[in-house]
Amino acid sequence: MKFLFGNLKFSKASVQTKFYLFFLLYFIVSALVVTAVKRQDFKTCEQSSFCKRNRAYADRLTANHSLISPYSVIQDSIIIKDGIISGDLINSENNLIFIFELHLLEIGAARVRINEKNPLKPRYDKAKDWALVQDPSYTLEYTLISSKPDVTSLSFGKERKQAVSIYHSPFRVEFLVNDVPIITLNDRGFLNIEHLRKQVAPGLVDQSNGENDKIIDDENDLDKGLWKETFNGKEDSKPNGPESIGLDISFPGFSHVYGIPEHASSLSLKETRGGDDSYSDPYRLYNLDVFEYEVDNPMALYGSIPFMMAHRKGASAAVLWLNAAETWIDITKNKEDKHRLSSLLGFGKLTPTSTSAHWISESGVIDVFAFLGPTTSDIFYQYGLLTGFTALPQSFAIAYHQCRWNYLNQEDVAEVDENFDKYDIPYDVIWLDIEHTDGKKYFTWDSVKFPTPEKMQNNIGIKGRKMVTIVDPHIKIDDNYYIYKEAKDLDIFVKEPDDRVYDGWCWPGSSSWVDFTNPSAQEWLIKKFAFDQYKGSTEYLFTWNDMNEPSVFNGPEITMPKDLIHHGGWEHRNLHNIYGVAYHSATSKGLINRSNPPRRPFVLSRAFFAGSQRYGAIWTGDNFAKWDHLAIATPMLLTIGISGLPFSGADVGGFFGNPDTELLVRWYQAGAFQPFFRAHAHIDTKRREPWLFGDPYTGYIRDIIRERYALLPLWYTLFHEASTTGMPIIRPMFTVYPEDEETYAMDDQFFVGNSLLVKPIVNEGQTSTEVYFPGNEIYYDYFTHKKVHGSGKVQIEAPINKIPVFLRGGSIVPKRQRIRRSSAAMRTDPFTLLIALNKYGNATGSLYLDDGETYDYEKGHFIHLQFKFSKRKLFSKPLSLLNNDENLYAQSISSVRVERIIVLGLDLKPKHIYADCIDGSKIKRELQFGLPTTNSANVVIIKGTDLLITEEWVIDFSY
Amino acid sequence: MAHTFSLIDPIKRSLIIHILILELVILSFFTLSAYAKVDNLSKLLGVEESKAHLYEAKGPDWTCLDGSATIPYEAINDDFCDCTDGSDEPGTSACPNSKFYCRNVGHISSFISSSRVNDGVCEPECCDGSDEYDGKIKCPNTCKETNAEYTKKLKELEKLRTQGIRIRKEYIEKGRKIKTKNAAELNRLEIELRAAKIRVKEREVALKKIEDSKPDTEQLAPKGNRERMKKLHERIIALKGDINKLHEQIDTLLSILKDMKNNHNQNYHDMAVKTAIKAYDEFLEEYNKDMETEDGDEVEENYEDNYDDIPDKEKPQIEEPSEPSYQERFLEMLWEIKDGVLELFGLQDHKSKRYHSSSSSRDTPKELSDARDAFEEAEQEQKDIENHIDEVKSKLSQDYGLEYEFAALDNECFSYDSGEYTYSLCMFGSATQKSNKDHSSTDLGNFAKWIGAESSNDPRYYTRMLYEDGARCWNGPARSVKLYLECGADNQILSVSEPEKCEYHMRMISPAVCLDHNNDHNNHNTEHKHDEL
Repeated sequence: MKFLFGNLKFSKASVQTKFYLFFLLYFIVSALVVTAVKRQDFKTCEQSSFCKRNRAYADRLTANHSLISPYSVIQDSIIIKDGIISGDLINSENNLIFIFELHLLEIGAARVRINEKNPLKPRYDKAKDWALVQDPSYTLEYTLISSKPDVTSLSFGKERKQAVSIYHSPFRVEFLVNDVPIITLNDRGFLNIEHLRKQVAPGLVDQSNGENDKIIDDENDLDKGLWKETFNGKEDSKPNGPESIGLDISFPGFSHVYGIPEHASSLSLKETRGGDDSYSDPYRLYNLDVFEYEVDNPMALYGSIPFMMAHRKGASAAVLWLNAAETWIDITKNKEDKHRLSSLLGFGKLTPTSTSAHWISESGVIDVFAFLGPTTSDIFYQYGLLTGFTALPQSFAIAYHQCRWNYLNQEDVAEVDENFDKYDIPYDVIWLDIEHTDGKKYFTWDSVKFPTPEKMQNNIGIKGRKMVTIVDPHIKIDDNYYIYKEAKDLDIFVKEPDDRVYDGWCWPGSSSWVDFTNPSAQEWLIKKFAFDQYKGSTEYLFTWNDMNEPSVFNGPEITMPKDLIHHGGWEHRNLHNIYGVAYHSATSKGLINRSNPPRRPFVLSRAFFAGSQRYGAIWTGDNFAKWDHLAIATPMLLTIGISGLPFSGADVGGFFGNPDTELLVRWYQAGAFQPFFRAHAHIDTKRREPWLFGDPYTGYIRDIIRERYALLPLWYTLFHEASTTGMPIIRPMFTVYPEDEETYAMDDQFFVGNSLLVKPIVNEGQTSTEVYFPGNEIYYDYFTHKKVHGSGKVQIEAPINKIPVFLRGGSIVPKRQRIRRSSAAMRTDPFTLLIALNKYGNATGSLYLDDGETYDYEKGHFIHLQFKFSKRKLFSKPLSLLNNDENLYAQSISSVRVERIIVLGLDLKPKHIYADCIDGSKIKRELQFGLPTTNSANVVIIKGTDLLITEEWVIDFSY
Repeated sequence: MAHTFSLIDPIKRSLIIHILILELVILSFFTLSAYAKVDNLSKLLGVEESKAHLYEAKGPDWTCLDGSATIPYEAINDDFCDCTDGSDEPGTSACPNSKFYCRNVGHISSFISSSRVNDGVCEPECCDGSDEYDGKIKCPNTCKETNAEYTKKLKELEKLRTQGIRIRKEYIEKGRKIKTKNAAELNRLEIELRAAKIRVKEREVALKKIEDSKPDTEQLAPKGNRERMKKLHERIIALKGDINKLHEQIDTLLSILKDMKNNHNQNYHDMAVKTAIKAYDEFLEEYNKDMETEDGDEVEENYEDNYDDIPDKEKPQIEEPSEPSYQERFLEMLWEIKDGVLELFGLQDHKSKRYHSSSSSRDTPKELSDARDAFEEAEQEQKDIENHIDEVKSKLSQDYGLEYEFAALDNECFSYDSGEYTYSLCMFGSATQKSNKDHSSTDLGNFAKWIGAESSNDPRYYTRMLYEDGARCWNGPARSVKLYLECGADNQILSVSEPEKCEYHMRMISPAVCLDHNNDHNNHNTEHKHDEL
């Protein structure tokens, strides 16, 4: 097009030229149709010099079997003291000395740390300050097994079932459980620590350290990018030169590994160095704002948790690679009989039996935690003890959220709120995106659109509802903006290498970013959420942290340049992946502190890291209204859930694009079974509030939202469980059936807790699906209560108004079936117990409840009931710590009844059913019940009992 | 009990919500009569007066109002749902489908959904506070105040409405007149057209005659001053037209660029867009500065206004200014752009259209030229009449409502200042959005059709208008406006919103929609109640 415009006469006037220019650009721009992620905006391993170097290092060792890792333990350097085994390593290629420490931890895990012994300057080692609850304590329960010149072995743990062997030359660490190796470090010899060095003139080899970087010198182009690299025209100055670390961590005998979110990919991780259905690039962990991301891709997304779990029959193991710099992970699965003739000739398919991960980070120290299980639940608990358990949210936070970019003004908010009531659809939270602010200045309101924010919040608050506003970390550069002014005066912005405040581009235009790794910045932001600071905020207002990767529109890969400087002089490259959690943490604390006594916060964040679970929920970012994005949500959320961060969800409906009615209905059905349940839409999309589709579709959406509300007691109980044991809320099949190999790669169906089996429908036009029913157990259709015939794979009908959900035999699900407009309005509603008996006629379940707002539960003000059905008797046994007369919460629901008990799968029809309170104060009495069919005991429904939820009782099914 | 199945069967089909009902059906077969309740609620709680007799005790049992089951009388309002129709729980939240009746003594009674009973919120629909009785919250009786306010508001509305109805009648009358006038006008124009056609024919013949009699055209004498001035005047008018057109084009371009600046998806991080926006900002600054210091329109206007008053010989010669003004430079540039662009797209040969006066370099004999002028004049006249006829016809075919009441508002324009923008809408014409900060104006579309209902027989049909095909949004659809009309004593736009990108909603009151019959009156009442509550 440009040459055509060349024919036009250009005048000398500069204005004119500009006019031509923008005219020209207008045509070019309007012709642009951008439809998907711009892959070229983001680096491949090849374009990231340290990734390329470490991959080349690995390749060299793999290609030449005579080469071994140059790292070995220096003779007699090992010291074992108070649960710590330490020693020195030497790299025989450059004679550099490193120190290693192996900590045996009380939590049933071990930690391996490796650092340069005498680095030029300290290497970054603060990721632990953000990820860990505290420095874990060492166990003294260990026994030295052998201390030979070539290996040091110890057993540890109370029963000494765990063991570690440190092989000296080459350096290799092996963890064993019951004498079986489950995790090995440097088994393949990829350990590589690029020591800090001084830059020498190009072409010269640094002689001071002997044969410096022999491997790198061998390959010329690997020298590029050591001291400077450029991507898409943006230069990274790299004043510290190369400083990467690499290590292979293998899981011998494991063919499946999981974790390392966030990727739009499968639950069971794929190979990245060849193999069937493999990726060509490693999985990448580097928090990035990826526009319209692609599914089935190892590209980095908004959050990073460097946690990987492996599972096989009889064993589970996991590692946490505690590093906040850009990280790449190559995964290979080694087939034991690789060299056998059958494999060369391609006879049959071989089962991969060992999986190995090559971890590569741009900077920092090696700090690896090995969790030894032996079960997945043990690992969830061990990881939770280390990085913290999910904070118990306010009860509204797990109800339904209505979001859109943007509800325009107060009238719009009022109308949406009113329509939920008009169409009798429950919802708890309405969200305001960036347009609610005055010019994208967070903590402010657009005074024309939102002139009376307190009034607006009170109007929804009195109905038991809440509001969330967005507060992003980019701060508009504007001296008249108090937030900017204060941060500038406190000198807490992220800086350029030359000490100028960094100025980047985001929603408000020119912006600066507060450095939340600075304690003063944390302290400052926490205060900004006080009611008298955040004008227009009320107790009904909660917070949404977006763009905290951080997203910088004009930065390299849409984020901050790596050579920016944070508190303590640390370069951004060291801590990139914790920027988001640092912001999330301060926001969350701000909300806690604004009330006295403190209230639980609710903060949704897009970026995350290990430890984010302590601060709130996360969501999978800007997804797309397409079927494949609906489908990928399940594996993504399962992966995030098993990585210690179970409070997560994907935007219902898909953020970009317009979902058709079928897709939207299916998305609501899937979303109702996600821990975080929010509908959201891009500003350019059509409105899609549930009532806009007309019946029957509005009805289908209403039904499934109501079902979510009916199940809130179950969800809240599961959140409590997550907050105390680390158990995920939605669980991959293999965590519930760890012995069933069929489930190991299954990620299109899952359990909610252990009781509900859910398989979302994620294909257009699909009305039936194959569901896998594991465990030779009875399953019941959740909606019809009918038994599922058959086990294993069964074809199930799934018309548009139905998501396949099944009750697993042996579970008791607490519900509240009264329809209400918000979760708060259900607080004193009676309960329904749904009991699905297993093949032995037994079932168990529990119910946890508290005030859903305060921290009183920490003082025992909650109720926790254990339900058990056994030998035709149903027991309700309180596990609460406080007696009911001291328990403020129990008192507040002292008149709440169990109004209905539904028992599925009784073998005989009962003649009478009696209830008895354990304390004996009440007389034994007969309960009314009904049967749906005359001569069968398949379903028995006990009517409206006056049994109180807070009391202990037994129901006896006499025959 | 065997027939339980037959009741369950149809319900199986819609599984999700009906599971609740399924349970109700099952439970409706409870026959045990001894059941102790926590609280003894009145059996009449939540029951409207006219149905009270249905809840009287006529024995130990009671049958659901839909006949679906018979339950113990005691089970009414026992906070457990027994009947499929929810009739056994008029006063509790136990049944998902029942309604709770608020007496609201002193005000208008109402029903609320069972889900609002004892939910901890004082429902405005229940001014007597009867919806919350479990002690969680105390709802005061506000019926007296509510009613006073309601009555006051109702009166006000009635007053406005009465006025509106009266004005609407005037509109109808006016509409009728306009219609008649237009019909007459059409009639008259058609006669005129016939005459004009004859005249054209005659003059064509005359011209031909002269042309034929003077086959060799001679060199002609120089034209007089008046002739020259006339041509120049024409040229000025033509130029002025072009300037105006160019101004419009600048405005359009500015608004396109402004939209791009405001609406572009920043996530694209497209440097081309960003550069364009930067250039636009710089241009705009300079442009605004120049527009302030040099108000070209005014100069032109003065000249134009006085032109006819000046004796011919004193009329100034058009001279080229020694230094072209900014505006002229700009216009020159725009011309080039326009022509260049049009040429690019093969729409215009730019060399030929710049000036319209190249034909008059030579003169013709007076007789011939007079004949030609006369012929051209007649032709023009015919064209004018035809255009006029088209105009009148289109007015006659326009849908001005049930009783032609909107004809009176045809082309009436109304505006609304939202702070950032001033929106204006001309009925049956176009809608625009003008920025209050700069000069930019955006076309929001032209009247397309009535969309209040499917059928024009529906009285709601004439309460909503669609204006469409406005300027296209960057990366989005063409702008459109939905105009929602409500009854009022005058014509006024109450609000403008953009619930979706580039789709505007305007709420407007107008007497034209104040209908005077009973069902409308009812609608009005509900509407009012809604506002009130």
